Amino acid sequence: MTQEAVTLTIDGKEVTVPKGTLIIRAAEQLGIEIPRFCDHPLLEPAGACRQCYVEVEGQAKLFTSCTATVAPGMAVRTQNSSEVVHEAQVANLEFLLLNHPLDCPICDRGGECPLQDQALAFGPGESRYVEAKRTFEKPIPLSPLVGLDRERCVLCARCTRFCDQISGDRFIELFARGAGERVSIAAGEDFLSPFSGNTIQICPVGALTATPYRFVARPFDLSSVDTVCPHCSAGCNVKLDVRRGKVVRHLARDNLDVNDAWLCDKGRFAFRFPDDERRVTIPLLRDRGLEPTSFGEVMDAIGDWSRGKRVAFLTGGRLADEDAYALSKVARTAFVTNDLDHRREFAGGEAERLAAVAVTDRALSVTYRDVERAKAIVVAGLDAEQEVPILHLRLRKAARRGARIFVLNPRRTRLWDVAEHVLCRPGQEAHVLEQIVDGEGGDSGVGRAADALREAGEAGVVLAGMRLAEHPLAADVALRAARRTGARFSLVPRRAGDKGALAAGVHPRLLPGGRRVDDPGERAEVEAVWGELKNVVPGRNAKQILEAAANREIDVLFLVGVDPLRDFPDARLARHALENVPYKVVQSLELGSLEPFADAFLPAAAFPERDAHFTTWEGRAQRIRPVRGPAGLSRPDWEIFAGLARAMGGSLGFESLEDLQEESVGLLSPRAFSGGASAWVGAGAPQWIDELTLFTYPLLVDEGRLSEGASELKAALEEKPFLEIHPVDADKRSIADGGEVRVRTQAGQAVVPVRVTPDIAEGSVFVPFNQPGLAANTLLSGRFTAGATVEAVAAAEAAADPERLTVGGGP
Amino acid sequence: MSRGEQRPQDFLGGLAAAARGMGVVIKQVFRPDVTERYPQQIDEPPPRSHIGRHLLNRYENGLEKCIGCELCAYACPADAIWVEGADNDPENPVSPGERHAKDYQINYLRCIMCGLCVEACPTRALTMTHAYEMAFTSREDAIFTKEQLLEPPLPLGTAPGTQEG
Amino acid sequence: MAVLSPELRGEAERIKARYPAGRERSAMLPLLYLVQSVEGRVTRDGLREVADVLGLKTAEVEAVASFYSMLRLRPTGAHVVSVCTNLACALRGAKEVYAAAHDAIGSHAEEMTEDGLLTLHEEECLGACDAAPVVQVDFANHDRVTPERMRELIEALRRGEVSEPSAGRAPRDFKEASWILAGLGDGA
Repeated sequence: MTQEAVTLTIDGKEVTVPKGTLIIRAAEQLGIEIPRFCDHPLLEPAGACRQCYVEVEGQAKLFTSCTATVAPGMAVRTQNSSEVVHEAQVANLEFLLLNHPLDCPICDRGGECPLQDQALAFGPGESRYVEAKRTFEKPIPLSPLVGLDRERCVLCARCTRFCDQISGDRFIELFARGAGERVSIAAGEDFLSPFSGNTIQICPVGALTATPYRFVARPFDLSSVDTVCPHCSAGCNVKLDVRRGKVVRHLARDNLDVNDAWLCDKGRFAFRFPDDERRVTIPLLRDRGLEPTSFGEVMDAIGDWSRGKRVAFLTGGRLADEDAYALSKVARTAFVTNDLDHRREFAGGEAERLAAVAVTDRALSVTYRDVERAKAIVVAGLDAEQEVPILHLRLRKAARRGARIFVLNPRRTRLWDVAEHVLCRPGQEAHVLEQIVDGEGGDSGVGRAADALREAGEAGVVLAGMRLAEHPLAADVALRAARRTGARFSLVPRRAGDKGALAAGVHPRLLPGGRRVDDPGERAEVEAVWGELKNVVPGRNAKQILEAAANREIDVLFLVGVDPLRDFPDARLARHALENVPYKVVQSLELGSLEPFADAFLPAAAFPERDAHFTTWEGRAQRIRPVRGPAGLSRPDWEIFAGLARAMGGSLGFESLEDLQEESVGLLSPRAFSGGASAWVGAGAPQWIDELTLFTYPLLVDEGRLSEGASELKAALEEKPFLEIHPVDADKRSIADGGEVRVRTQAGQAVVPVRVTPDIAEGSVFVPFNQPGLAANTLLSGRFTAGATVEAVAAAEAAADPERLTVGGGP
Repeated sequence: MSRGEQRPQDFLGGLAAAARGMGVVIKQVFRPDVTERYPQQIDEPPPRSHIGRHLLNRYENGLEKCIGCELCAYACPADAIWVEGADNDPENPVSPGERHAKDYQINYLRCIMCGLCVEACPTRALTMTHAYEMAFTSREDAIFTKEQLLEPPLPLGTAPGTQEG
Repeated sequence: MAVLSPELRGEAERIKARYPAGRERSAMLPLLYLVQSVEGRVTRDGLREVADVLGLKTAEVEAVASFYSMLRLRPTGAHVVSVCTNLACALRGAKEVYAAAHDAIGSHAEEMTEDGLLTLHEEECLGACDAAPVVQVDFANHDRVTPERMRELIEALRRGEVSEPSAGRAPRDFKEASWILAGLGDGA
């Protein structure tokens, strides 16, 4: 469908734009700036501030160019060619400034304020207003993150429109009317939106300000760099501001291919970890205690420990792409091991194949734009708001454009108002997905999802979260569902480095580019670059590595940016493993809970100190840039790996980032998936024994890494531990909402406050993975689900219980 | 004219020129002395001169005028000023309004006494005094803290080093 | 404490059901009147309950409730006397009528009298300019009110009588007026 074009003139210059374009956008195309406050290209027009007046020939009154669409032959005159428009704009600015305080010197927006800039460019030089200005109590905290200064507000409604149209978290609204109109939040409520920070950034004045940035800096003493958020696989483009070497702010950058103009509150406010006081920036080696030493000494020691020994590597999803590649190479060439893994979820054969597909077959991949344009979307095993927040906003955008969205999850997500949820017990996803594939449609969530996908054809999208990868078949079935209907498919990992690590082969069975280590043909392609690989037997995955470690089958364990005690879904196994490995090498920003175990510590450079790439869930590699040099003696991870290779008497073959990138580009470039289709295996309906299925995943704001020091963020959005249970299951066990329950699994038990809610699948209970006071991995045995029993705890008993909110030893 | 031949009028002209030159010398001998015998004798600069150390002013009620806006630091061509803002405790405010300067430093090894900071100050918190005696023996001494800048400068002649001559 | 009893909660659901699916938000004004008919004003709890019935955030409901002057968010007497002082009425002497009402009701007239009987409200426009100056007692119009008539109306309210409005039937008090406006009364 080609858009009808409209030709008009603005200030005498001719321009042709698609029908329906707003005059202000057409003027932008000509490079004509019309002042505006309420207009935002990603929000619907409001015409609230009246600043963008233009004159249209033949019309008696002035138009607001942000609400008026173009018409053929229209002759528009802006302030550049019309005295009337100029006068109107000056008058309007004077009007907006009547009640606006002149406190620019202390305003956090001063120096980067659209009102300040436009008053200077288009406004009157002096104010004729001499009366007392309106005053309010200020700042009013909307939440621990956002402060509201009503005196500065010009009532443009950008913030309230963002909450209404983009995030759907309608916590703030314009109250009252006339001179009393004001932005407000319902009394006693908090601005509990994980996207609240965006309202601060789009505020055209200093009415909404960020508490963590309050009076911290002025725009002119910041040095900035354009980089990418390190928190999740969304890959939001951010601008990172540093004052005197210290990170003080993250702002969203506009990138319509990725994050539009938005950023979640974690990405925006969890920025203090590179400057955290617990960070260690010198190498440490265990002598009597952990003693500071030099890189040379610690590398030599590691070389001595490792030569000819059984070595394994565990890493989280936080390594940049280049680091992951160097790790993949150093493990296989210098340490001759395939025991390396970056994952926490494991499914077995089929999912591993799928992982390879996800890396290599770009024809299948999904982009943000595909999501936005889709007609039908199935989101399976993913709580987008909590796990990949910007994807959540894209899904909402797609819904506004008319997409039908189906969420297949054990727990209702915050897409509740725009998507249909099919709640299923964890582990049942494969079965439900199969029904979608085979289903004839019909009047059920599954049927409607099947119908919608079929109708959408190529405009369908299937997004599979990593929880699906826990089931041996679920992710595979999701892929088949997509293939059968012609829909696009993507596996959406959670963390920023997950996709890059998979592509680089930080995986026991896969080499770079998803090439299988035990497939001679595929291996040869890697060997052409790396030289002959001596170890061609697929290695152990993370769980098997920890089990082997616990059985004293591993001599040296590298923990690269990962804390298995906290991150791995089996706390006891992780502890046993650490206790039984002779040498533990920790490579990270800080030691944390690994301090008693580490035998050597290698300080890594944090992301503001790095030049590298992160790959988004889509497979888009985006560059991160340094704003300062590495703190202390810390080094980029890939340099440390190169040093380790030398300590082992070899070489990685690259001494600079450019060399590394040049070498890896061939191995990591897209290629078609060459594996044959595996036989269709029916997932079948799972059988339940009479107990509940406990499942868990990390919420956006929790005690996880990279949130250190983000006290305001945690005060605003971090929830206390809780357990969610369906009313039917609660009734059976006489559990009342708001009370406390004891949850027992094979691994452990805990007493937690309970929420009885119909927003969870019957037969399931949910506990967040890592809230303060309860590390859910103490309840798990290697998977993110577990059979569990739940019983009510009387209030008195709970108060007396020393194990309250903690975890006991065994069942 | 050949070399060596001097006519009488040339000689007389030379004599007159020498006398004129000596006249200037003799006149200067009787003019008042402009050399300042610092530090034995210390003159007060004119009362409205702003040539020396900065002063952070207070309102009459004792509140600091400085609001920590950092405009002085922005204006400074030598990057000599460091300001850190902070919230005022409403119960116990340091300055009127919401913001005050938690820290304020001027590095006099960098300062070029141009006065642009004074012009930039929106509250007249920062002014310059005539305390031009700034000799330091260490880098630390040359960086004035907020506490020092809030104090009026010492009278001329009392700065370290001025007593020894 | 729930503002709406279980029966009224059922009533609220019926009001909501009058509107097409996906447009339940349109039931907000009748529901706010329903809440006002219970408490004589709209309290914070009332706002929350309306939000709960409609599946909205409290802020969305409060935004609407604070926009309309017919919905009283502050303490309110049993009877609300609204005097229009907008242009047409002002030209016909509304300011004097308002002053008379203010004098008759006494201090705190704009808030609530100490006995909780009366609240005076200066209104922008009551939509009956042909009958200016207009006064409303519990949303019932009294046309062409003079200061004397104003005093009489207030005296009547003090005696516990409801004066006959210029048209229709007078509601018993502000609560009943709200009940009628919620679409639940027999109409006036």
